[in-house]
Amino acid sequence: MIRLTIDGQEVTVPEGTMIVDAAARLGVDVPVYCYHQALGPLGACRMCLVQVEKMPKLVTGCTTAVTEGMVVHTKGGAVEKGRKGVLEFLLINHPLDCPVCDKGGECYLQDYTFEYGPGRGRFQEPKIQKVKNGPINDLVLIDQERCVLCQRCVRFMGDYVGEEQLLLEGRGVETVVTTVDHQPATSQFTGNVIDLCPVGALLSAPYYHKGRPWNIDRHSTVCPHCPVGCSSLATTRESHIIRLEGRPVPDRDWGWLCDRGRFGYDFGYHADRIADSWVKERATSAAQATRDVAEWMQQTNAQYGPGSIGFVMGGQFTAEEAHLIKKFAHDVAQSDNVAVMRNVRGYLPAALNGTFQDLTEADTVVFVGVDPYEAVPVVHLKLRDRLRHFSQLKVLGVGPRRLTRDTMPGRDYLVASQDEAVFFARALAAAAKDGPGVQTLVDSVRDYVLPVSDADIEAFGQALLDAEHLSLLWDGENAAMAEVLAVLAGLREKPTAVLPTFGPVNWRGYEQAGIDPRYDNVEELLNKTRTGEIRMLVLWGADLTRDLPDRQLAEQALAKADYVVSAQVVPPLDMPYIDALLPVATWGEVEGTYVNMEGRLSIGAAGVQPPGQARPTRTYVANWGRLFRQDFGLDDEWDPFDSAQGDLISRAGNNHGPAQAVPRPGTRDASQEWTIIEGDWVMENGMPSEILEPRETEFVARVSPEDAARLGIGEHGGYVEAQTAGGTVMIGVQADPAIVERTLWIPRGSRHDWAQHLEGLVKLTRPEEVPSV
Amino acid sequence: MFEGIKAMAQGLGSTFHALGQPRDTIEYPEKRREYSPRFRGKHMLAKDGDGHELCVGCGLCEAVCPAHAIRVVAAEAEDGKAVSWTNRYAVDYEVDMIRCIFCGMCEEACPTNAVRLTPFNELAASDRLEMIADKEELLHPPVRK
Amino acid sequence: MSQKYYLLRNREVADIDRMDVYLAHGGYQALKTALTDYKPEELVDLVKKSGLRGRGGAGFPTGMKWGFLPNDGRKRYLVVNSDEAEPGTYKDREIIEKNPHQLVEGIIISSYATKAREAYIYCRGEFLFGAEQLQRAVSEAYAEGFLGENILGSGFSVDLKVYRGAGAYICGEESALLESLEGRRGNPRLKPPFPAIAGLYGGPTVVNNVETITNVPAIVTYGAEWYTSMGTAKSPGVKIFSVSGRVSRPDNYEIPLATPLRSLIDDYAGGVLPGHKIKAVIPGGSSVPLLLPDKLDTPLDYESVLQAGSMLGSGGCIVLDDSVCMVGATARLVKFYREESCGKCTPCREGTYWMTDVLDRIERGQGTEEDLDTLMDIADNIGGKCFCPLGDASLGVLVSAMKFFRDEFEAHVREHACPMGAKLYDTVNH
Repeated sequence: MIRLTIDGQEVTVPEGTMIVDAAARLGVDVPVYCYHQALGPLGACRMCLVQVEKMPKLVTGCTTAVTEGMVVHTKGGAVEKGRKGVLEFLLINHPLDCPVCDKGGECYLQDYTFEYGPGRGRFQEPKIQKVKNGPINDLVLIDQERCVLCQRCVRFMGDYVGEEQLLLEGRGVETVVTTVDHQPATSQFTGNVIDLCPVGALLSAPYYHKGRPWNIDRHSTVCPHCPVGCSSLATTRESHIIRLEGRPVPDRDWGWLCDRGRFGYDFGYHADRIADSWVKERATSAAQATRDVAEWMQQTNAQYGPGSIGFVMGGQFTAEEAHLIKKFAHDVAQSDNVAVMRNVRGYLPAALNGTFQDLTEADTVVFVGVDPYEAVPVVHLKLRDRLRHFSQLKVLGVGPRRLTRDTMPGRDYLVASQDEAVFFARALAAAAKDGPGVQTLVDSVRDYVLPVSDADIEAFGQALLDAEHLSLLWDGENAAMAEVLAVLAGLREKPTAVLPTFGPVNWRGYEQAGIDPRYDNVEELLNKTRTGEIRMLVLWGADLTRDLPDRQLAEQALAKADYVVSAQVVPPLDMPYIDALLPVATWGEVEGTYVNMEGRLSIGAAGVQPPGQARPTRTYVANWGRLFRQDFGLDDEWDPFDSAQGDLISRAGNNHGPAQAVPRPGTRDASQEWTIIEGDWVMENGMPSEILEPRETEFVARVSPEDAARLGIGEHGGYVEAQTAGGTVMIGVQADPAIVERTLWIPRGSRHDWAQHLEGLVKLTRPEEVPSV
Repeated sequence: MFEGIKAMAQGLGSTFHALGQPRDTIEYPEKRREYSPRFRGKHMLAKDGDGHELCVGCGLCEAVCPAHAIRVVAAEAEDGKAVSWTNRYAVDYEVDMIRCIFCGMCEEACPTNAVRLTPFNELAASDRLEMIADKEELLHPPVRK
Repeated sequence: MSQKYYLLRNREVADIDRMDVYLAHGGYQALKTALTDYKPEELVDLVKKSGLRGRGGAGFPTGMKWGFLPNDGRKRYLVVNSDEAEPGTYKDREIIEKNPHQLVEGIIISSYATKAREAYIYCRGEFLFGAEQLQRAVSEAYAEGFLGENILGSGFSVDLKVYRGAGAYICGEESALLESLEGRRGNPRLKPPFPAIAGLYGGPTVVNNVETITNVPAIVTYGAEWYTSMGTAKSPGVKIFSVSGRVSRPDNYEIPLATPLRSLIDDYAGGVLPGHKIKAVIPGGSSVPLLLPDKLDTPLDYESVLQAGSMLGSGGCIVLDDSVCMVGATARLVKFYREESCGKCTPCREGTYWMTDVLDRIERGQGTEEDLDTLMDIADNIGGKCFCPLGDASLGVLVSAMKFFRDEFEAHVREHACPMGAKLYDTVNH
């Protein structure tokens, strides 16, 4: 630890801290442009000039590390002249755009000039002219004249993300920020440069001219599109969310967002948003719909007794809303059949659940079935951050496709989804055959044939055991992995953490509310529906035919039920089966708690009113309570934070029983030429967005480049005919080098109709009539 | 008694005297008072010589207004359909005349000399909604007769 | 004047750029001596003893620089800075075009001394002919076995590549040079870490100027005592001065250090043009302050010139006479820095842009009194506040010109014209 004095105050900081960071600890603000803690020092802008005693010239506080006994002055004549000089220099070529520039009012150039700058400009010459309304891509604009050349954007895209799509062109005053070959930047992280840019050079196209800092409100929230739950700030104006910004959390989160989260906030007022109530395919009033549903519930209970109504939670509801449903189900609807909609069968006990700190400290990371770049993009960024500080990070991918990539290089072990647990079990058996539970684990699969050599299996096992800090990301597809992970954690003394990347996004919140989120639970509920034990289904955000892995069960249960009530944000695939469609308030319209993949509780504030007839869950439940004429009180006392440790869910409990054998996977149909695999892709998570439409593609399915060539698919994708058990269907595919031959990858939960009709896929053929793009 | 009659006569005398004096009353609405050009009355949005609106929708008037009477929504003009002299313009511009305190801060704050207070002050209306002047109204300021 | 040339040997021997001619005149003997008679550490000591200082402009003792390399077993690099772009300097150009083999020999010896495994010549982009000459010399050296594996059976191996720049003065700055060599934008790097510790591709690197390395074979041949017998104790040896400007014989002159400036101009360069008097001299390239005629007797060594108020720099000696308008000359000079500023740091990028515009206005007769004060304030806001020395370099002539020739600037302002009657030179729209 180093002790130094800044402006007469002493402060002690770790060695290697820069002066500006040390000053920040004291609350002393040193103005910066090019310095960003995540990107490291650059020393280019010269804004942070401070005076250090015994040094002849002013030094940049962002590049100078503290030394013992250093005396720093951030105020006083020389420093003030230095800052005035730099600001005057920045302003000479800066265009007089403040009234028309969106950054006005929240601009660091305005603020620093006001505080540290000269009162008048002395520059009389013509200002340099550059491109003013250039695109970085559809969603990010650049005004090169306003740029102060802090290089944050180019460094972020090049060094931090690893996708060098922005660069500096030209020299001297003619330097401009532009895209490579003047082509649109395609990275899914380009939106972050909007937050990074200290002036109005890089702007959001969807937010263009929509608001000013004084006529908007900012609400602290979390993004609802994937289980990362990035901390963000929703900007609202007149009851519309008009922007989402990242919200840095000191010492924990840089506040990055992926473009899907950043620009996909408009699903709440999308044209597809359900804002009317529908009962038996006729639009009706909210009151009528509520009454009808209550009547059905009472009828069902009267006829069939308690437990004849089933509730399934899905969607993006808060933990408090889940608790309300659970309480209503138990207290009023007399049913304990409450489950969570799941699109994979896996479950992770809280005891094994790690946090993002486990990624920051990991020396070995294993992707089990999931490609974080596509499924949980900001986790990929966190790993990039780790990689930059620790270049020996070992990245291993296990799954039916390649999960590592250029910007996250590693080793892939290609095994079918159903074989993942077997692979792990055999690896542990090879590397630690006498470990507790290992032999039990591998009992049924000792001789199962895997497409990986014995040497590689053992090497993998060894890597798992030797890691100093092992972190795994798991997509939940292979349920037996939970068993394996428990044994693995037990074998290792050093930290082992698992981060689940499956959904629904707030499933841990639903768990906190008392609903069992395991697949067995929802399967049992639907089985009971299929057999007639449960007669009525209330689907709260759940879309069974779209998400449930066992589609037949979903369809049969829905067909059998007397009444199906569904509360949704956008029309679900279940539509043909639904008797009452209720418009319900969603993220941004209700305040509540979301629990992310770390098991961390965050509050999403409400900022806008739900459109049309959409009502919060609370309203429905309260009205039903009244209609049942019961003494049902909304439990406002329940706080999910009560059972948590700080803001993390409790890791206690869930004590694992004795190890169980990994079940032997069934043999695959050899006649099936093609294998279908599924993966999570945040762009296809089911929520529509007008803003992101330019980024959408019809060709969401993927095949290997070799297969694409054979099928005549062009560079951007094309249509092929899929011959399945149920007939022929046209699907849109594109080439992806991560996919192996004879494999069709489809995104989980895609809203494309054909994604639901691919059972018994025999082969893909080139369509004769439809040309590929 | 004579004092009483004298006093009454004096009072009546000054009354009749005043009858013949010139009056300060202005018979509104047939006659109207002259106001100085700097008189702060109803707002207007000015245009430049080419017919382009001066207002760029910056919202500084909205920010500075002490009564929060102004609402500005900006937008980008479509290609070829310029509304203002640059590509940004105010698509919604509303001044709530009831809230407005006619301080003139909006006029001072405007960087393009777009919003100005005219000497027009006949603002009475019988409906609150009528007193929210929208952009159309402000672009065509009434001139007092 | 007849003299013995140690660096510009092309003036004594025709076609010495050819391998056969160079060999016939003692070429690569120094290399053989170095490899057989010296261990690398001993060569470093020899160069230290010779007192050789960097000839690129900074004048840093070369032997000491070589000694900074850490002994940590990492691969080492030697990079030769042939990005000569300092206005007024053209000495390296003559070496690479006319006597490239001495440079190549010097590189091989220096690589052996510093145990560099890879060497690069970063050649200024505009020097197409020079790069071709260098490439040919390198190929010839490989053919003779002077480069590559196990040179002359000594067990020492080094590879040498010629790399062409893309035309940027800033790439003469060593860290910007390394960035450019690595294929990146030629922006200077943060120092520390210094190139000796983390240079090319992060490895220990020595960056030396062409003229500096060209001295090495001579030092090996004639010895350290020979070198220290010329010049002064602190500035020994020979140096090439590139004389330009208002003199009869502008040319490169190889002279011992501590020769007086007057001698260089009068005895070597034929003196100022007939009928004219010297007004000012820039002794070391456009980045150093002016010297007035009263300093003409200053010996040309690092210490004396510094004491006289300027710097020896690269030795590009520009002579200005009474027909030169100081304002125009300053404006043109500052414009160079505006064109060449890399743009990384604010004061240099914007400051040079501004100063050029103001100087142009003054030069055109459109300046005001205020402009003169603004100019000095801009200079104060640039000086000492930039990322690399280019910013300060842009101020050398300007500040000294304003100090010594303020009356000329004021005349431009008052009379709205140039008192020299010089054609108003439009530097912006030329």
